[in-house]
Amino acid sequence: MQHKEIVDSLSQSLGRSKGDINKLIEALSNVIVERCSELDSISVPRFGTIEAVKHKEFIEVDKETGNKSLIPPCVEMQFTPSTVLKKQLNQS
Amino acid sequence: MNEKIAFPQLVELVAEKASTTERMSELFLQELFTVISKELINGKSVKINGLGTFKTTKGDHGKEVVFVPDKDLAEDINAPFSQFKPVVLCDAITIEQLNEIDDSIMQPEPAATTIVEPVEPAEEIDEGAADNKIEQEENLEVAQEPQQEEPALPLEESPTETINKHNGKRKWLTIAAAIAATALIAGFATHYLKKGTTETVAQTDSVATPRPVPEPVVTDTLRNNNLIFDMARKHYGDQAFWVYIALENKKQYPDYNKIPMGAALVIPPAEKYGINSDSKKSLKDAGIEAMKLYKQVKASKTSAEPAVEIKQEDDTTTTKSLTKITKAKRLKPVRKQYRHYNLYRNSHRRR
Repeated sequence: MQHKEIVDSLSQSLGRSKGDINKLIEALSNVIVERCSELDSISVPRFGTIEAVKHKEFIEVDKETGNKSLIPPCVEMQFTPSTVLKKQLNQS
Repeated sequence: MNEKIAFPQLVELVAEKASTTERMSELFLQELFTVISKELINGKSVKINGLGTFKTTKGDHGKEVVFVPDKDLAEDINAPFSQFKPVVLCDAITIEQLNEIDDSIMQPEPAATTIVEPVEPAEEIDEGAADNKIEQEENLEVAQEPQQEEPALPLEESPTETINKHNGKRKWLTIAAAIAATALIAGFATHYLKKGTTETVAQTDSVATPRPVPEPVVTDTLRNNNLIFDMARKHYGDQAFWVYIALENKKQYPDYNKIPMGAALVIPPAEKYGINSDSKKSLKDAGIEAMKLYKQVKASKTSAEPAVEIKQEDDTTTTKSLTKITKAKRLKPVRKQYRHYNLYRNSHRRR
């Protein structure tokens, strides 16, 4: 499902304009950026948890050349589905 | 940090951001997540612009949901690390060495302001670890007294060579012009030729020296995010050539570790020292030069620093001296995730 279809279906079910829905989605992504850059986790009941996991820096060795390089730290987004969603997924 | 945000809190935050009612934002979030989960259950992927893509994959324990964040979202979250780039390490550095140094590093503001500093030869890093405390003080001093920073120092002695070169060119050009002009004046050719050239030569001598050089000498200002290594990388393509910048500015700043922030450093033309980032020999020469300079500077130091043995090819001795220092000067541990970067950052500024 693409972005447009989601906006359409949400605007229909909520009775709001597409602009409003887009605004809300933007607000949600802003909240996620703000919170996840502080390494918080956002949990949504019956859906799952979106969290930011920090990977420390590490030394990578190129097997061919033998060059070592230090890879900088990074924050990765992870999604863990709730047990309800997992069950539903595997039943279907 | 590491907080868990429950649904009601998320509703509040979204309502605040979108400046709508909490009821509206709650309905929206519920609807959005039910739509996403429905689609996932049907085995379809869901793409939301500015957020990312949710899709299902087959894992070991049945179906699993994978979230791929939007490119912008991932960049925003990784913004504090955007300045860090993979750094190629010297062969002499091992993980054990880095770990040993960990405890002896101190850093007050580890967050976004930390700067990736290129790797130096291992021997120099030893010294860097030992002298972090001093650097700390230096940093604080700089922070407290920004007025003392000199904005751009006038360059007097170092560019003389280039000036002379240009003067030479100028002389020849003017002489040629004078000859051509005098040739047109047919009757007085021989008489005026001599006079004209001598005059022009004298003029250029008197005029060109105080005037700025036609092809300006490249200078770069030392800043927190533009250190001598960064300059070398920017101008020569490899950080290893920092030593030539240090050498070029040696008259003004004899100790390359004590160059004040805001100082304008002369960047010598690459041909002057035969700098070529593609040639291995040039890189190796730069390393040798760096070692020479390091020894010179170290010899000129009068402060009673713990003597570190320097042996270029011997890894074991460096580790031994390293442990000595780490045991002798055990400082506050730094936030771990930044430790190596702090190490590189400080390594070239030690005394």
